[in-house]
Formats: sequence, structure tokens, C-alpha cells
Amino acid sequence: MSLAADLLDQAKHLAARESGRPRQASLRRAVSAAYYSLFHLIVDDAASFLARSSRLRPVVARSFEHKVIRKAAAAIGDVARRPSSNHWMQPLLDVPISAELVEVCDTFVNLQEHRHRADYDGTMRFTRVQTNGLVSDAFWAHTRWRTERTSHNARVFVLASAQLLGSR
Amino acid sequence: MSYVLTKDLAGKLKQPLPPEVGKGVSRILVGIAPDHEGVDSLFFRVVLKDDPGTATPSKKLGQRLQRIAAELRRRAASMVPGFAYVDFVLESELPRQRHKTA
Repeated sequence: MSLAADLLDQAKHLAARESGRPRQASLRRAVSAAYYSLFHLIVDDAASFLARSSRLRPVVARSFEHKVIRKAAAAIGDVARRPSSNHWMQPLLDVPISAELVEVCDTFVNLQEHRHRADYDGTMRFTRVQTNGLVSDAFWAHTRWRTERTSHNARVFVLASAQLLGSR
Repeated sequence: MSYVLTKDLAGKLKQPLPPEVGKGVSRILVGIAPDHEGVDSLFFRVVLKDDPGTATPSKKLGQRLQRIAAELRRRAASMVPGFAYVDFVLESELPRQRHKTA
């Protein structure tokens, strides 16, 4: 199994621990693992697309930045929901942007925010269903990405995430 | 790109979802808070009725919740700038409100 699939399994396992009163540590780590499962799914695919050599692929994968992928993902959702926004990415994308890709991108942005809160915000209290919801979003995003990964718009997303496209 | 979440705007954002999407939704809470990059952002919290389908993470649950989130983000995009974050809780998970006696 891939690292992305393993992390998703781990997220599910952690979300279900302590059946009565779950520990915050388990729920927080579940949210974090769910985010990283999607991060690695996208980055591993992006690296395979950008580098044919198996020696180069891990190096390319390492060059991706969370913040940049988040920005690219947010842009895809923004262009899809506000077609008249004149975003720099708009001319590069096929329209309409598929709901599947928008869901993957929205899930990435949403999960990254909750991952930050899970890892750094001690004032926040995660609930079981809140965690199950976020982990389930990641499950669904994995499925959606598999059908979208080779589409033109997914390639634009990947190239923007690799900082090979952008407003200059 | 800041804005104020007036009562009127919050009311529009919290309107009930179409029945085909909003099944099982008890109510919608909305607020503005800075995200981890310090950008003021909209946060939706969708309160679900107690439901055994939410007991474990699954693809099916993800599909259902994503439809709700997509509808809320579409709604938010027509009213406010920026990304709208969404999470889900059960009615029974919310902190109980203390009732004041007169």
C-alpha cells in the first residue's frame, strides 16, 4: 500500500479509538493523518507526472510546499464558484471545472486548516463526529482524485502546486 | 478583503439547505475567524441530527458531507470573498446551554 493509503487507514483507526470518550490526542492525530494522506496522494501523483525517473521522483515530491498547494487548490475552487473573477488561472483551465476536482481541492484547503488547528490550537476541542467527518472527506477525496488525476484541469492544479505556473 | 458578518448576512448564509442536500441537518452555525494564515474567513459548523451513519469514517459519509459543504461554499461565494471552511458535529456533541430562570 502507498503512504497515502496507509495514512488514510491510520486516520480511520485513530478516529475510532476509545469508543466511549475519545482522547483528544487520538482525534487530533486522526485529522492530521487524514490531511497528510491527501497531501501525499496529490504530491506522489504530481511527482510521477513531472519526473519519469524513479531517482528524481522523491526529490521532486519533496519540493512541494503545503502553502503553495493550498493556494492552487483554493484558486481552482474560486474559479469554479466565481467564473467572473478574472483569476490568472482562469484562461488555463477547461470550463466547467468538474465538481470532482473542486471537491478534492476544497477538501485539501479545509483539511489543511483543521490540521493546523488539530496540531497547534490547544483551545479547540475536537468531537468524534467532527473528526469522522473530516476523515470521511479525505476518503471521498481519494476516490475523486483517482478519477480526476489525469484530467487537464488536474494537471493545471499540479503544475500550479509545483510553482511552474503563476501570476508573474 | 475583510467584511462584517451582519445579522442579515448570517441569516442568509444559515438558511436551510435544499431538502435533497440537507437531509439530516439540524441547523447551521456560521462565524468569522482568522485562518492559520491570519486571513479572516468564514467558518460553517453544520449540526447534524444524531445518526448512526456518522459513527465511523467512510466514503459514503464523505460523499454526503461533501454535498452539504459544496452547497454552503456555493452559497457563501455569492455573498462573501474567500474560502469557506466547513465542519460537522452532532447535536448531542454540542455543549449544553444553560437555561436562565427568570
